Amino acid sequence: MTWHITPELARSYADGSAAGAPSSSVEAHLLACDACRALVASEAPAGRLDAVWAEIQEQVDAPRPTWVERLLTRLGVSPADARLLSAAPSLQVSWLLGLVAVLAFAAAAASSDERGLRAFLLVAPLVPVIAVAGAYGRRIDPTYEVTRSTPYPTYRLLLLRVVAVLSVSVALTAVVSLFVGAGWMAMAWLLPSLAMVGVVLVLTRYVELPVAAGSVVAGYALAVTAMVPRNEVDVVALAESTQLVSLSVAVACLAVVVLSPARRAAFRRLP
Amino acid sequence: MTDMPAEELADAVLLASVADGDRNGLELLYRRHAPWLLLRLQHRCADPGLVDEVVQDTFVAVWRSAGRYDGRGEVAAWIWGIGVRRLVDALRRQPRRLPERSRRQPALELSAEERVLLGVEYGDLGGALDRLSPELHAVVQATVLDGLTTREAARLLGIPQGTVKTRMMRARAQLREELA
Repeated sequence: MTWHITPELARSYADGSAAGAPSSSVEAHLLACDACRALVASEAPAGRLDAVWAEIQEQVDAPRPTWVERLLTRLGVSPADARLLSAAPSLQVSWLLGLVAVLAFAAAAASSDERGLRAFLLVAPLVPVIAVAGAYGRRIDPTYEVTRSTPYPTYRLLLLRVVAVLSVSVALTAVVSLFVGAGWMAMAWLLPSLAMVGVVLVLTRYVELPVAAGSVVAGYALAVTAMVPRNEVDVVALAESTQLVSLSVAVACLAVVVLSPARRAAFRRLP
Repeated sequence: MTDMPAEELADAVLLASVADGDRNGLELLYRRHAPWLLLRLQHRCADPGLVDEVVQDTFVAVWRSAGRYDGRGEVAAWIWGIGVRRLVDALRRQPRRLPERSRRQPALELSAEERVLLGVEYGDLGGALDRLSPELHAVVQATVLDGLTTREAARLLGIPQGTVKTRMMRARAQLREELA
């Protein structure tokens, strides 16, 4: 470089009064000259730069958003809600892997024969319910204490978590069902599963979420084992009436959850 | 400048330490490069809040992707590349505001210092650039000096890509004529 930026030019560049070509010269020169960068820096707004640096430090210190959080923010969820959602224990990778493993075994059994398909249809509805059980609760949620002391409606958090967990687990189960090889028949678990989740949500009014989900899972297991000796399982698992009953239960529970004034108030009430 | 206290370490060395998670390295880089970056972005966007945001984004990106600098070219040019693209992205998300300079007529009267400066740096080119209309100058600045693609320049200036191309052609023809 045979020339350097003069103090006058640095000043006129900083306040925007320099003409186009000199500005361009300054900009090209600044890419390669440390001394002139220091000169121009003395003309830059120090207060703004300090404020920006403080923000940068904060961002660098903050933990990087996980892939779940980034995906949710991309989908339009606010960053705060995304952090809360992704802290749901059943969205953790180990949980997801466990669920996939259970489903994979069931699917492997199902692809062997028609008895296997029925076994699959009996196991698969439980997967979303079990996932929902881990969405929120005193003992299983590492952020439970924090969220309890935060001015954020607990019931709203619970519903957000349940919706997130439900969509992930239903999507996973649906993907596994594709490999069962029974066409749409393999999706017969969906409505019974949604009906059970609906019942769980209704029960959360009275008991904690894991307790509610546990009771529903236990009730389902009892009903199935009671039917086994009478050879009714095969019929019930594939019957159209099962689908209809499940649909009505799911709709009824959804109506209770959405329409009940007490629940609407709880959705907004701070702890 | 033969011995090297921390303040005078080369940019590339600092960047390598930032890639290893050195916060002091990041601060030194920030003190060195944020001032001119802020001023240069300010010449392209009249909204100070947005410029601050872009400077912040740029250095957070430097922190996270310092390892991706391939060692070729000036670190300052690498940082500018990140910064100007962040500005283009930010402008796409917000209603745009024209920079002061592209609305202003180019100054026809140059000071003596500027004449000398231009004579050394660009020869006739500097004068020829200044005689371009503000629209043509903005396009030359975005594509040639800022290193943006036609598409990015179109976003930065808020005009269609086709317009960027025709203005660039007109600018080139005018410069060729003046420099011939």
